Amino acid sequence: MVSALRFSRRSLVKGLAVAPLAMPAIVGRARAADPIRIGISGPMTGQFAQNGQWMKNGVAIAVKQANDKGGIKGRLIEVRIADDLGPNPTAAGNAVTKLATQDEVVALVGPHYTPGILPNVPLLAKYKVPCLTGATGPVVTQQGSAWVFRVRLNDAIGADLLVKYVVEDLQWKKIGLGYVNTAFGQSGIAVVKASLSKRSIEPVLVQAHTDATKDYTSQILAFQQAGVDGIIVWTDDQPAGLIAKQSKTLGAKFGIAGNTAFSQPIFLGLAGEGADGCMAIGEFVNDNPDERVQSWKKLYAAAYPGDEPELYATVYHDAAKLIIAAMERAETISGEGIQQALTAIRDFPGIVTRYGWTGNGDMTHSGIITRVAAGKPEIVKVISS
Amino acid sequence: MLQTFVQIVLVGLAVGAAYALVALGYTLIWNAVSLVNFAQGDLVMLGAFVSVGWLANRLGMPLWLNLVTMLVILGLFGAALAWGIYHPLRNAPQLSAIVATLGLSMALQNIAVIVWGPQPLNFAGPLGTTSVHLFGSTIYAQYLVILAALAVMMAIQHGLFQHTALGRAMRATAQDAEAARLMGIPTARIIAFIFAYATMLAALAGWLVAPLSYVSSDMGVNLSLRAFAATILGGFGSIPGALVGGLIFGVIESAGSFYISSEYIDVIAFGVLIAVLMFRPQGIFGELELERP
Repeated sequence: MVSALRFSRRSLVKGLAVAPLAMPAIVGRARAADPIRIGISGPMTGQFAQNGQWMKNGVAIAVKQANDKGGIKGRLIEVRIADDLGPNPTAAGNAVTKLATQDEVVALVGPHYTPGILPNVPLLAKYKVPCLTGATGPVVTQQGSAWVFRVRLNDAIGADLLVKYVVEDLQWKKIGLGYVNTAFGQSGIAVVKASLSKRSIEPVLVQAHTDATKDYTSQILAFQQAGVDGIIVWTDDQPAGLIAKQSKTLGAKFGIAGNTAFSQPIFLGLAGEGADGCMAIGEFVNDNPDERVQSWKKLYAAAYPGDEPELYATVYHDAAKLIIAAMERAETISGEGIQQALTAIRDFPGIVTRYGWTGNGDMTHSGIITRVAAGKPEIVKVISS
Repeated sequence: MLQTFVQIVLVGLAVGAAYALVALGYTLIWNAVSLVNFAQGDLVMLGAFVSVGWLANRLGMPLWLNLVTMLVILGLFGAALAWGIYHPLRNAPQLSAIVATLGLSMALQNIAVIVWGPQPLNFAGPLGTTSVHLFGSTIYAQYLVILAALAVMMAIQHGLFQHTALGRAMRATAQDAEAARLMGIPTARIIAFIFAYATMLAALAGWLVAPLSYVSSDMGVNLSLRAFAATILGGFGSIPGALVGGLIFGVIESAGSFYISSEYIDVIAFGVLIAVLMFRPQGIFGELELERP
């Protein structure tokens, strides 16, 4: 018995010694079947939860399409979601950390909001996870992170193009400014001010608000008293809707132009009749007759009956497609491999635009100016940087 | 200039009236059971969602029946809060009940998203987007509806507190619950009624402010913070203080935003609050509590 026991122990020791040599093959086979995880950091609860829902919908369609074709190199894609509460730096930091460390995602969609992505810029480099974001604040890519890929038009370009439009095409002379007092609003309005200054125009009045502001009467009256031709506002969807609605209620005569928010469904729903005439710099309207947009509308309606694709669903659908394309082209399906493959993308056909990486992380280089008529945003100008 | 001044003051008073309704709820519950109900703002949201999300959008109930039904539902909910949250914790440390109201606040916000969805709901209110011209200025009619509603509520409350047995029992319970119980007043039931009434005030505020903006799960957060500040400004525990504090706070915000700076409006409004408390710590109507050495 003793001898047998000794033999067993020796065998066990030998077995343990040899095991690491066999492990890669076993793990390799297991890994081949393991799903690839990508993460969504988006607002799933609170004031901005609808946008998070749209993000989720857009990504889900792209992932389903890829999985229906057999996945990537034989592995299916699995989506993990974390709630970042929108423009909430703390919650967004926690969401990205959870996705990167606990869920071990290889790429991220979101955070969407500029205040949410900013604290995550160093974390993405630390965890080596590439992130495709729709945050448009110029400050997002000013840090030169190799891990941040912006899939919407940089405000540094968009705000300048909007100013050019209202000054040169609409001949606004006296201009008031409004912005949401976050990193997004501050950096956007800074570009607007610089762009006006370039054209020798000083804003006659600058007003700030927060996402919690519900009454804009005093601000609207101040713009009226200043005799502005129009106001340029850089803000989120809900404040945009309230500004337009309350301006209409107070009988304000000035024009309203702003960031993409002024063409989005939440804005249109809240502003009601006040939305008419509002202009926005953006990237997407679902009434675009372009064949890709129309077939996307049908695909989305089939997946989510009763809902229509808007910017969030569409741009993050494109973002997921970019990640999938990068995974297909990457040498290894890892954060670093995907990051390298994303930097090689030059003319990728998405629904919103054709994406191409440039050194600062921007992947979108064209936009549209819309004007709301009878409750629907219509394209009045297509512009390219 | 005078027209603009009138506009600014009226808007400030109307917004302040909403603060006052919520502040009254804080005050009544504080007086009755020495509890700060941090879910008071979320009851604003709940009232608006029940009215707009259920009674109007799903059942198509006529506006005024909608309002009455919503107030009854929220009143019952308020009474349930007294039985479900306050009573089980009435002998626990005060902090336990406060934490319970904070938990309730978070729960209500998330339940609202689950039940009514994350998209904000529009509510036209009784007058839609009607504006009226007053002293040469244009005023959104809903602001006047809010002011009128506050006046009506105060008249009803005065009648209730001064001329009914229930009101006298509520006042007695608020002044000294133990003495009231010894005098034969069913304080547990009266406390439930106070919770119900405070909840109805908050719900009414939600119904009134919803047409100004929209109905969303976080619509009560900002309102409750300002209402709480108004309660302190007016004098914690003072009913006239809650009313006047709310109105003053609303006018400070509105005028400060127009005449000084919208960027620093919170600094201005809360700066005034701090300044008042430095010179009058008990608030405008509060009574200074003196302790014998």
